[in-house]
Parts: sequence; structure tokens; C-alpha cells
Amino acid sequence: MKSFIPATDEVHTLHRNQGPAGKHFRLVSEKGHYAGNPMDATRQGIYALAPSGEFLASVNSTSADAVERMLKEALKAWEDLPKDRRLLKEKPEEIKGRWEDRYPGDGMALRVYSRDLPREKKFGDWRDPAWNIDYAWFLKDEMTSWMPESTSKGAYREVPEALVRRLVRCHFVDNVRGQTNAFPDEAVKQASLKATIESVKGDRVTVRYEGPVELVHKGRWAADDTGEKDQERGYRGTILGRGVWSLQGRRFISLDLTSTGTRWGGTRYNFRNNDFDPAPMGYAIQLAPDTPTDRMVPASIGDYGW
Amino acid sequence: MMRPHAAALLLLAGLQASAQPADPVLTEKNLAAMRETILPKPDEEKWRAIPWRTSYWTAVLDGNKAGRPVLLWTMNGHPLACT
Repeated sequence: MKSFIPATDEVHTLHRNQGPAGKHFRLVSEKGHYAGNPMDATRQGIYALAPSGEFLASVNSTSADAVERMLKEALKAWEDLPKDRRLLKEKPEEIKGRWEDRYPGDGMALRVYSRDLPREKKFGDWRDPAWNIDYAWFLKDEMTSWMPESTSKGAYREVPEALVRRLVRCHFVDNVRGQTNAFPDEAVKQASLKATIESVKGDRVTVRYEGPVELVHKGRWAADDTGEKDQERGYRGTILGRGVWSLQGRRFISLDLTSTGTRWGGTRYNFRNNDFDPAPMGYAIQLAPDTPTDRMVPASIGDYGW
Repeated sequence: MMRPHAAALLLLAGLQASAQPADPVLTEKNLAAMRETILPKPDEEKWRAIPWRTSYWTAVLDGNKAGRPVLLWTMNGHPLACT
């Protein structure tokens, strides 16, 4: 593993990218495990390649043994590859205009974890302990509006409705077992968050957050392999938690919000087959550290209206 | 101190006593336990310790500079975020 430069990326965008990254990736993927599949089919998996674009090996497997075999095969191919075919021959192009460039460095990025809460129904496989993570972004002004104007104990405000609606419809989705799309705005039946100052100690202001959430989306879509049907999906619960705000830094030092509730329904790729009935589920939100691997774009950034 | 999982199970047992499933109620009393139940445990996030480049092209450029091969993990949905 240490012999490689490790990388991750989103395959749908990468495979269709018309810039240098997409052209380069297709050189590799069209020699890999899904070579020759239709263009609209996925190319997800694990690939080893030379920076020149020479294919070394690939696999799409969750088996550690299969991945280890692939890594060994790739290293052998790298050793066998003539040195003049390993690196790019031309000066590489710069890539601009990715969503990553919109990272709100002076605002806030949140990790949003999701997981099913304990219940009687068990599957006896990966579905029981499944969890997921997404990121929620807020611009500087949006972050500031999470705070009451007065910072005296007992002061309160409602976090702007538009921000709470965006948070819940884009991030309180059932992605525990696989990604799903954001709720449309009309699915938001209830979404509010009251911010109340609990204490002020020197530079630190502790704020309590609490509010209800109700999302109900009705329509016609495929939620399993049986084709399109009339469907309903939703989440109903409560948000509760606290943030600590720095008066001098004018930003949160911590923001720990939790939501528990009931989810129901399913969508095409969230693997809820045979599990559409109401069941307990929760979300845990925390500040994301400003590190390269936490500067991840929210899955539904396209629904932010930015 | 009550373990988070046990607290969540007790909550669930209360829910199952009624015929109609009720929403799990989040209170100041069970907040910490419920939160700990939801958050991943350290052994569930081991893969985050790998110094992943977060875009394919960055890794190609870094590999080109270092003279090393690239290992790409690519999924529907970014592997470091929501897949």
C-alpha cells in the first residue's frame, strides 16, 4: 500500500468528465474490470495505474484477499513497465471549477453521520451495523445566523428557516445503506431550530439547539427491482444539541447536534428492499476538522441553490 | 453509567409496548447515549487514517512528481463521504 499514491474520487462525475482527469481515467477504466460496458454504466472499483495512464490492475471487491492480490499484481506490472512509459510525457493541465473550490473555509463544514437505531428486526449481515457520513456546508453569514444577536444568557432566536430546511431536506435523508437523493422542498412539513444561550464564560458562549423535523415525500419511483410504483418516504424526529461559540473568533469551536426519529420508505439505491416500514434512525452532527479528507463536498450540493 | 446501546434498547422496548410505532424520543437524559450509538466507533473509521488524495487528478499529479503508481478507490458517491 505504501508504494502507491492513494486516491479517492466520485466515479459518476469522473467517468463523464470531459477534461484531462476524465480522459485520463477512461484510458485506465477501459482496460479494467468493467471495460466495454455501456458509457452510462458504473466504473466503480479499485484501480492501480501509472501516472502516464497505463493500466496496472483493477478489481471491484470488498474482499481483503481479492484487493491484496490485485495490489501485488499491480506492483508487478509497475516493475515490468518500462520507465519511459510510467510518467506523463506532457505538462499536466490544471483543473478548476470543481465543487471542492467552494469549500467554506470561513464558514463551517459539518460531518453528518447516519445510522439505524437498535431494533428487533435483524438481517444478520452488513445491513445491521451500516452507517454513513455526509458533509453539510454553511457560508460565513449562514454560520453567523445560527447565533442569537445578543450573547447574554437566555437570549434566543430561531435559526433562519431556509437554512434549517436545507439542512434537513439535503442531509436528513436515509443514506444509512447507500446514497439517496435530497427531499424536495415541498416534502418539508416541519423544520425549525431554536437557539438559546445557556451560558457565557469569558470568550465561550454555549448555545442549546432544539427543534422538530418532519419530512414526507410522496411520488412515483422505483425503490427496488420491481419497477416504478406509488411511494412514500420520510423522516420524523427531533434535533437536540449544543454549540460553543467563540466571541473573539466569531465561529463555533464545537457544534454537536443529534436527531433521532422514525424513517420510512426507500429509494432506488439506498438498499431498503424489504425494509420500508417505519423504523428508528438517527443522525449525529459535528464540526468537520479542516483537513484535506474532511473537505468533502456535500452529496446534495446541487440542491443547495448556491 | 448506562451503556449507550443498552439505553437505546430500553428506549426501543418502550416503543414496542405500544401497537403503533412511536418516534424515538430524544431527551436531555438520553442525548449522550443516543449520540454515542449513532457515531462510528474508532475501528469503523480505520480507513480514514490512509493519506488519501481526495481527487483523482491530484493523485495523478502527485504520482507523476514522486514517480510512484496511483491506487484509486472510486465509487458512486465519494468514498470519503456519502456512497
